[in-house]
Amino acid sequence: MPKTRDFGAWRLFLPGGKPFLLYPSRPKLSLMILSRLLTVLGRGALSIFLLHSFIAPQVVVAQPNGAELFANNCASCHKIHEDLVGPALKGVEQRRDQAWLLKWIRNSQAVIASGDPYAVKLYEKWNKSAMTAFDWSDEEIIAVLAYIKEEGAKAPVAAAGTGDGAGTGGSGSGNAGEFTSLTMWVVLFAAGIIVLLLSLLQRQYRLLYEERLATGRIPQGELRQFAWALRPKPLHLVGGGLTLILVSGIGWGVDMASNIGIQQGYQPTQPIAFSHELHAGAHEIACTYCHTGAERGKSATIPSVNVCMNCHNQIKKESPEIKKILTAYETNTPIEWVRIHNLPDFGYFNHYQHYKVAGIQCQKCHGPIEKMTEVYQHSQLTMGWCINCHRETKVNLDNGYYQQVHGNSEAFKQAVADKGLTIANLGGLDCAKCHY
Amino acid sequence: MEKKYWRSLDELQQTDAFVQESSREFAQELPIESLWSDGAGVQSNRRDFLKYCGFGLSAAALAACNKTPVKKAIPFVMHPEEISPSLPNWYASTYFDGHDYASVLVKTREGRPIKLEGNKLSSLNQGGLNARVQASVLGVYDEERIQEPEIEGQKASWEEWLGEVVQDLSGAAAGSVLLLTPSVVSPLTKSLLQQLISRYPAIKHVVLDHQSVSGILDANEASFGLAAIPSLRFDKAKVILGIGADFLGNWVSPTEFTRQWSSGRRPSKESPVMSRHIQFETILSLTGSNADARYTYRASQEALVVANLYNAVAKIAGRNSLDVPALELAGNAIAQTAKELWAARGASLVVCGSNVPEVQLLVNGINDMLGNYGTTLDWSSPWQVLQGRDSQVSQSLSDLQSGQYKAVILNQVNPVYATAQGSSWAKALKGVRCYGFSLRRNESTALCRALAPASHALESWGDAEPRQGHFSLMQPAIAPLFNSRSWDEVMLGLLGRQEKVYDVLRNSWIARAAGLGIASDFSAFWRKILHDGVLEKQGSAQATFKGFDLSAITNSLKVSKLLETSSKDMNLVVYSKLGMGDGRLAHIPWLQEMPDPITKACWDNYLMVSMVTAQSKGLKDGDMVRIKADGVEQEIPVLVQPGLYADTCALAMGYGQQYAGKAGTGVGVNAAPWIRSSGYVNIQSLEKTGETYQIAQTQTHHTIEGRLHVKETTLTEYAANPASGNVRPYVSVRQEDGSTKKVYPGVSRDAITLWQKRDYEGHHWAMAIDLNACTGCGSCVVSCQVENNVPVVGKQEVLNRREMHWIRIDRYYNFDNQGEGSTTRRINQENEYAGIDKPDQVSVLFQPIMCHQCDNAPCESVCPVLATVHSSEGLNQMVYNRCVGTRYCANNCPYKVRRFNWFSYIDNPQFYNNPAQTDLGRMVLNPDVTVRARGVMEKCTFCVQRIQAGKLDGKRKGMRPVDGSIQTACQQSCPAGAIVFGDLNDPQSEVSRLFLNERTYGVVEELNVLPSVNFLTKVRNTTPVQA
Repeated sequence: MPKTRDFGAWRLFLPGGKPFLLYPSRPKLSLMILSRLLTVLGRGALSIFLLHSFIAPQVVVAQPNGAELFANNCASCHKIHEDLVGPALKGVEQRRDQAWLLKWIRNSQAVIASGDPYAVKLYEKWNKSAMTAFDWSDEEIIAVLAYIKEEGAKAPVAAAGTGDGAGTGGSGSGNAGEFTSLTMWVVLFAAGIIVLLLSLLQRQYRLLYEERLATGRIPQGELRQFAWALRPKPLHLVGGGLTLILVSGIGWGVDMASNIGIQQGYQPTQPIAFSHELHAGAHEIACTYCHTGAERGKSATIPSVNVCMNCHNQIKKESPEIKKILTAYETNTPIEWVRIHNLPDFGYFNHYQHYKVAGIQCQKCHGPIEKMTEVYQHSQLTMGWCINCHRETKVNLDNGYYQQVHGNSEAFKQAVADKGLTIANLGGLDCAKCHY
Repeated sequence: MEKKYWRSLDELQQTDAFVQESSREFAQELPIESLWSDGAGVQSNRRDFLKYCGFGLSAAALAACNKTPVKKAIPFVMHPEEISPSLPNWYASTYFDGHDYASVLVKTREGRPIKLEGNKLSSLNQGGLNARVQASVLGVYDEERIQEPEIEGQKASWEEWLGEVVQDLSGAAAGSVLLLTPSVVSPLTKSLLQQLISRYPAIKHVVLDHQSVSGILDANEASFGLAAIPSLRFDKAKVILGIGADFLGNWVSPTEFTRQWSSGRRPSKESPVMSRHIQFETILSLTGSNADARYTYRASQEALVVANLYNAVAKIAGRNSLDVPALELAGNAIAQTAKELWAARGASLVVCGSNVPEVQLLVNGINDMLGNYGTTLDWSSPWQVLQGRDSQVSQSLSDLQSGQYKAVILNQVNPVYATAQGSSWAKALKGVRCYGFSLRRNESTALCRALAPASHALESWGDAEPRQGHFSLMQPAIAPLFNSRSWDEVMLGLLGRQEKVYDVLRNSWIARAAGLGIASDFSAFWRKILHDGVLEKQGSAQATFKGFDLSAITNSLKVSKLLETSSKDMNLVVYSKLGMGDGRLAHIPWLQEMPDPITKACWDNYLMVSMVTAQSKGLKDGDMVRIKADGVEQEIPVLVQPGLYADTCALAMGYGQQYAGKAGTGVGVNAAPWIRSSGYVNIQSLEKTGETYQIAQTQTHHTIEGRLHVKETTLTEYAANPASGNVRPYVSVRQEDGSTKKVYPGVSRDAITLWQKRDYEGHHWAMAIDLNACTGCGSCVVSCQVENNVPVVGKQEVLNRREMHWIRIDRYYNFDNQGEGSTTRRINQENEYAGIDKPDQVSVLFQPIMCHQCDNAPCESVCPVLATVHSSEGLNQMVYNRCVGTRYCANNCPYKVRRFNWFSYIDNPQFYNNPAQTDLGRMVLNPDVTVRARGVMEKCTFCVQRIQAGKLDGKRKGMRPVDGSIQTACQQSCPAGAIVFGDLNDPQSEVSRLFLNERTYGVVEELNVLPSVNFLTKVRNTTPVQA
């Protein structure tokens, strides 16, 4: 018997489920290379899978500060370096003293009514558009002024994308869907390679078998079996083909069924070509300037026409799209937007809880909204998707509620000490949190 | 030996039908046969089955191929500042419909009123509401309301309608136009009425109350010079005697009285005192069923009972007595009660429901002898909601018949239906020019030549002064849905004034504010009272008792034949049910479906007969009888009711209407022809017709197999041992050393268990219900139905035992309480239900039952699809979209609180009564609660939507929700404050304190299901008060 070099063994599972052991008695160099290749490919595919399951999205937690106040309240009409609806604010503290600014920000109309000449001039210059009165504390106004000063010192940035609430936070888990499909392609590719290599391998064996047959040495055992086992037979081909069609058909059906009701990527045409890219992106208007409901309750709310008119009674009045707003306003006809995010009726989602209490950024669920010219549904909005986030997201423990209600429990302390408390730790997976 | 409780006569007698039914969880088999057979008796077969399968499959496939429909999101054009979508707004307002008065808080969502709650700042409500006012919110969304003014059947404008009325008013002779209105509680309406009458002297204004308290008003006018009712203070009274007055149910101001009464009945370990409540009555009323001692009298002898009580008190007080025949109730009750009242003089209270002025005069005399004026009866702010005087009403009818009136204006009154002289009214009204102003059409408006739509109380501006010096503002919660106006607006129109009613109201308040000494900043004051809803100033009225002539009263009573002792006639009593009242809300299906607290019957009225009468006449439940009394004959089904005086039948008013819409039309018979101020009519004949009728009663549904679920004790025993009557089940556990130890599963949770211990790290929601405070009024049932979108299923489904109420009130009878000082009458085996020989003497216990949110929930362990699972906060969650409808959970629930959606109540035409079936009715649904689909289980959630909102509010404020800030709907509406909900993990919360109370127990806690709802034992004050 020839001597054997052991370079590994494969266990192949054929459709019958019987393990097929392969021990080439006298391998050739080409066989060795092929088998090594297969090992490497298999391990590669495995590691891609593992890598996928370890990637966790990051949570961005908002900090209350001057920047936030500016973004949420001022940015819709003012920019730091250039005029918008109102004047550019760079150097505003050089132009007026703080006491005047405090008065002006709290109630500009009162200052104008008091006959302050600067105020009246300013009012006239900006087409008599009244500035909203802000019921802010001294500290809040000073924080905003400090932010203006700080930003004013920086050079103007040409491209937007850093504004709080508009720019950041979108990068976290945004690519989960793409990643999944990429993985699938890699695995399919690898499987294809494996099939190709296996057929090459088998061909090699058959050649080896025939060679031995020709030389008069009758092949024995597995070598003989393997060489003939995968030899194509017409009946096998038809049967295999049918099985393949059936299996992939079932797979496709299940895949389709599990996607019923999922509208990820849904991007309907809206009655007005409103661009979030322009408003939230380029102009850095805070999301809650228009979607005010997110700061109060369950619905984020689509802005009413009068909110649009806050700016558009001044800006771009000639555009045909803006004219649609004007028409709606004048004829008192509501705009019928096409609803993109449709949660089922029995699922309760509260914007206030997520945006204000947890401090989750809008982009976490709505995707890179500041880059969308036309909005589409970014996330799956399935229960699994919600639950996953509840499992992974850490609770914002600054809120006294959590300290007072959960603070004394051992599990709470333990979880905080370990790796932070997730929403799931606090009952965030309970059915009746969302279904009632 | 334990006392034996029973819930129905069938159970008492253990009839075959009862035994059979009680062993079944669901009353009927699945209705598959009826679905598949073609109705002609042809049974279904395998082919049909396959057909349906095939159809089902293809239909499902087709449905799945549908594209997801495009949904629109339509924001406002101009966003109203005060509306935030998804957030409720609350407005303080006032509800008054002519009978029920309440200061309310209106919850609106996106501009729609969806729920009413009592205003805590109002002394008349103190946060509670009765079932009718709870349900009245649906009256706004009523498609059957009058929508446009009409003249002689033709649609007209308001100007035309007002023009017609003005034409009849101007130039007519003085006092030739009759204006009939309900009581006028609004100062604004009063002043406008005055202006109207001085402008048009033709108007003769008469107040018509469908349920008047005319007798008391007459008596008080004679005794005190004030036609009003003093503030009654049941909370200050040590001994309360009610004589035929259902003050916890329907008499005068029941919501207020319930809160007062229950606050006087909260004994504690430290101070084991509570009021003693004695009730004399003919039928079993809600008040009587809550009394410590209850005695029955013949309806025709009410005056005699009061006169004898007067004599008994006078004898002790050393005053002159009346010359009347002597009468005594069982166990010398009158003499005994007189002694008790005297012992507690100055802190006792006698109230009487009679409408006979002489009887009420005697009651005033009794209270005066007892020195109760100034303590338990306070004249400083008299109650003035009901003002109707029977004498004026009958005078106006005879004037109308004699042709004195040329025209009649009916403002939200229905004399044709609701008065005993209805047919005379109908005849008389046909002869005059009649104008109707009403929310809905009714028997009287049908006779009007012109008709105008009234605005609902929730659509109108206005005010009210229910009690002198106590003001309440009415602000609209929604703009009028139809082309309707309020009565104030109509009067402004008749006066030709162009102002808006809001401006008139505000101006009237500017004048009033000056009178009240609020001159400084009116707009701030105005904002505050609009916000608070009420302004309560101590009234300044004074009244002293003038005394009366004893012989005059005796004579007058003799003339009215109210002092007969020998009468053996059977009496028919007309009473009002808590759900239906006088029937003005009979079109509201929630009230039709609310089980009556006593009979537990819904969707009907019926002749309640005593057990004695039933036996002698051979009647049983559902037998139709032909009854003739005072010349009126009707056919009515019979319901045998324990607790009635032997020779008595009783019939509820408010039924038998012709215009009560889908829900109320044709339900029952009208009792109004038999309404008498004396309170009864003699029955001339009562015969079985031989037919039978099904009355939908819920009382034997969801039976819990004779387990001990209600516990009671007496005050004496409680004082000696606070845990008396509260025998807790235990398990004997053998210790290592061979001794045994008692383990109480209800007390030390998890002491011995096969279940995995549950840890509640955050909240642990729980509820404690005080059986001593609960009166069984059923306000919680309607409140829960409104809050949780519970469907109305209709009479047939109630008969099928498929009612959907998430909370029910179980009513138990027993025979042991005779009020004779004996604590309990013990029951032995030979005499299992002792007292069955005295069927009028039952005592009653009420117990609200909803989902107990068990820690070891039996329902959870049998659900094959995990549709009901436990939450980390102790809630037993029901996940509708997982439920496949096996109903195993309902079968395994020891409390029988799970309800199965047998049908699609929102679109199946069989359930046309369900409010969710019409576009307008859907407006009342709570958007925070899912409307359940067919084929799923549902049950009480502890109002999880309110819990979640309360927690979110806590997070908003950065703190634990304050105890009491999260209230379940049943708790919020409870007029007695019997329900306490809160967090067991908060040691400061009231519910955790109550869970440690000696009176607290869990129902069937021996099953170790660890319910999160616990009860506090009922304490009866059975010991007579001694001097």
